[in-house]
Amino acid sequence: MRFLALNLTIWILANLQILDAQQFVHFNYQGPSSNQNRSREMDVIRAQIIPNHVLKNSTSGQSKKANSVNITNGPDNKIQNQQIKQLKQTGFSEHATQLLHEHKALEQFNYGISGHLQVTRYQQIKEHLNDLANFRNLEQSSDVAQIVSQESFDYTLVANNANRENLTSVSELFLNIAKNVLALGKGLVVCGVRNVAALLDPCTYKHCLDLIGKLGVSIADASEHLLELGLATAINNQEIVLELKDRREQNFNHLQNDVGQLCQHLKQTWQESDLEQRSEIIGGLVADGLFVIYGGKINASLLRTGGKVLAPLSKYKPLALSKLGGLGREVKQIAGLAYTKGREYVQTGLDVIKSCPELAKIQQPISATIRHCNKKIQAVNDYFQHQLQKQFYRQLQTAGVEGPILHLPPEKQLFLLNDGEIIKPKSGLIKPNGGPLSSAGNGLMHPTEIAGQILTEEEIFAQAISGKTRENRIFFDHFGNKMVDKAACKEICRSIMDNSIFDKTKYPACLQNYVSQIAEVEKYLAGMTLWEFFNYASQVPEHMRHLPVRVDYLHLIHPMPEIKFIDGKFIAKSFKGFHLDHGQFLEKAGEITHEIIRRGPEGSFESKILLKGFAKPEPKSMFCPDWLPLDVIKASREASAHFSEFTINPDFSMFVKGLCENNLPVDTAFSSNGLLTTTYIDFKRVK
Amino acid sequence: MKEYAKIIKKDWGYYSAAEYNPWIMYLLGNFFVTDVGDSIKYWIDNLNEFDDIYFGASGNWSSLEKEENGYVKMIDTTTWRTYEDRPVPEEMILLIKPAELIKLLYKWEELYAKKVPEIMITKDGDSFEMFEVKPQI
Repeated sequence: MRFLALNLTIWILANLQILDAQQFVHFNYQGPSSNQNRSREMDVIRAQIIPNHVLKNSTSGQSKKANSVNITNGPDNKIQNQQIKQLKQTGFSEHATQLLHEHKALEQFNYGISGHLQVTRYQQIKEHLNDLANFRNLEQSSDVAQIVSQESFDYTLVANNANRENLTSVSELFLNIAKNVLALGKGLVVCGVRNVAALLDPCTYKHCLDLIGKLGVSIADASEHLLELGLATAINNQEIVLELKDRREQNFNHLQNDVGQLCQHLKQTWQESDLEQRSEIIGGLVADGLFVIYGGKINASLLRTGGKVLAPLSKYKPLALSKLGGLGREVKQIAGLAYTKGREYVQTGLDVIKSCPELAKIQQPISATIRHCNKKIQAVNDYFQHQLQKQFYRQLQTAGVEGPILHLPPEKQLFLLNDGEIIKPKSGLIKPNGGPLSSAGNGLMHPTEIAGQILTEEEIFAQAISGKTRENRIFFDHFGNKMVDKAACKEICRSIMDNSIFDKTKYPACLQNYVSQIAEVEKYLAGMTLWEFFNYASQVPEHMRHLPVRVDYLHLIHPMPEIKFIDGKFIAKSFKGFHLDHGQFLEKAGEITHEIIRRGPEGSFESKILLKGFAKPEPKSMFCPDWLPLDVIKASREASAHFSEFTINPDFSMFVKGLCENNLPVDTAFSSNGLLTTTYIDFKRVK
Repeated sequence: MKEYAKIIKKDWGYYSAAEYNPWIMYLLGNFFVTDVGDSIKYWIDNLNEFDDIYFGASGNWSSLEKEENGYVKMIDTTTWRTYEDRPVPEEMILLIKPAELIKLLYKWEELYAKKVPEIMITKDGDSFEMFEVKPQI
């Protein structure tokens, strides 16, 4: 009886679903489409996706034992089984349904579809999901495959949800991202596996190793020449080929032929590839790059050829690449992507894209998106780190710290704080091989030992007061009272570093909030020159007119605290910049509090802003929190084009006071190299 | 000729540092025009804490820092990003004693309240003056 009741339930549910689908389809088909033939076509496609007759016939509710995703217990599971069956009959593979089941997404893929685009997209999603699931299943042992699969699956879900809502273009966008991520993963895994195999079995590369042995150079050195020579051969640049021949004189013919063929093949493959295939190539190159970097080092060490490491990409012949034109640029970019940062670089890019899929709209292919995102993040990192480093050294010099410490290589630029004085670490704390020396039993630990790695002084400082890890808190507690002279200052450093600056050196949450908006500004500027920005005003110095306008976003969107080192103490005193807190991001995060002085036009206001941990507020004029950076830049441009004062400073930086058409007074400053350093509402000129 | 900045009342009552020589006088003039306005108290309160280790203040346009020998260093912060790798050029730094700047701020408060048409700031060594320029008849 119980068995029969369950079967009946499944039958009813199945038929209800049919009914829903039919009603949905019927409703839509009466609408926009009047073409009988097209309707029939769509019916056929629809029937392929939701084969109603199959559903009607599937009344037994019994699952085949061979089906590994079948679930046998409980009414909910019966429903799931039914959904799995439905999907399989629609064309989803065993692995795909398993994947969906694991992610509890079965129901999401069972929905009524209508219209050519929606039906087509559904098929594409299905095919991609089958492909993805197959990849995941084949590469179960690969971490990269699992990570990439998850990334791609997330986008597939979004694509599917969008399609379910009949947002077919949005769905297409996310499906493309999902496909590209998968293609990238395929390349990474396939080449990675190949390279790992090669590493494990150097005989695979015996031919290459033999050549290198004959040449008497390291793997790394040879790798450089492989690329140079390969490219030179690919573009048939005999001049470079001869130059390389001269440099290595002998035994290159064989190499040249081999690599030349490879590069020719790559060139041909690339030209014939679509975006997805190119992504796969990128993945392969990344993996190859990792192999060359790590494998090369290992093999170089094994061969005892002097331990040369791979030269940076800049050593490759730019000329050779430039001869390849557009292809060369892409190869260079991809090779740069692969060689400079490797997997971490790509992963970071993927993370950013995931957090901000909007970027994928404006930057294609995906490698360009990755570079774009990384460039932004890197710019922030560099900026903060540079600012910190600059201030640190400046203050050290001001404090009269002995010179040599400032000129040591970064890995040796270590410091200790001792009662407010900066001293060099004791010699012997660092092992000759660069590793930290254990000081077990010693009451005072060296900061590098706490961190477990060699750190530069700014890293020690940053980590120490970031409070992010237990070890660093120990460090802070240990040294903190020696770094500051007041309890308040301790709080200042802790709060600033913990929540604001240094977290952002890794992943600037604030910037992530803005990243798509920044992309919009970049799209708007799109190489706009300074002269265009000022509407061809004669006041713009001739030698600056051609400069592309760039924006110091951070100055606009984030307070820039100034850290001073005074009398042996670190002190956070004032901050610069900050005129837009879009969505009150920092305010809501508790980073800042406002004391409104006055309200102005267009939602703007003048405020005394207190930065978390600071003793005193600073007056700043703020754009409306609803404004986007693009709105700000547009207002700045509008006002600059209608300026009332145009001042050229002694260093050719410029300061311009202007008025928007709605009488909003906006001041804008440019540095001498075309960087828009700040723009704000001039409340003293508000009517 | 004395170093000076002439501040002129414009269209709807706002001020503009219209004439100056040398550029640091523009810096000072624009400090009053753009950052001070009617917010005199904020700057005076800060300058009264000149001896404090935390001394420092900044507005939209300029910032004040403590300099050696008891001077306040005024710089234009809007282009500070330019100077990451090099010091701010000397000709773009105004050094002024805190008492002198406080004196100018009080004078500015008076003239600003009266909305006089033209204000002159002059510099003679370490000494600064601010006064109303009477229209010539």
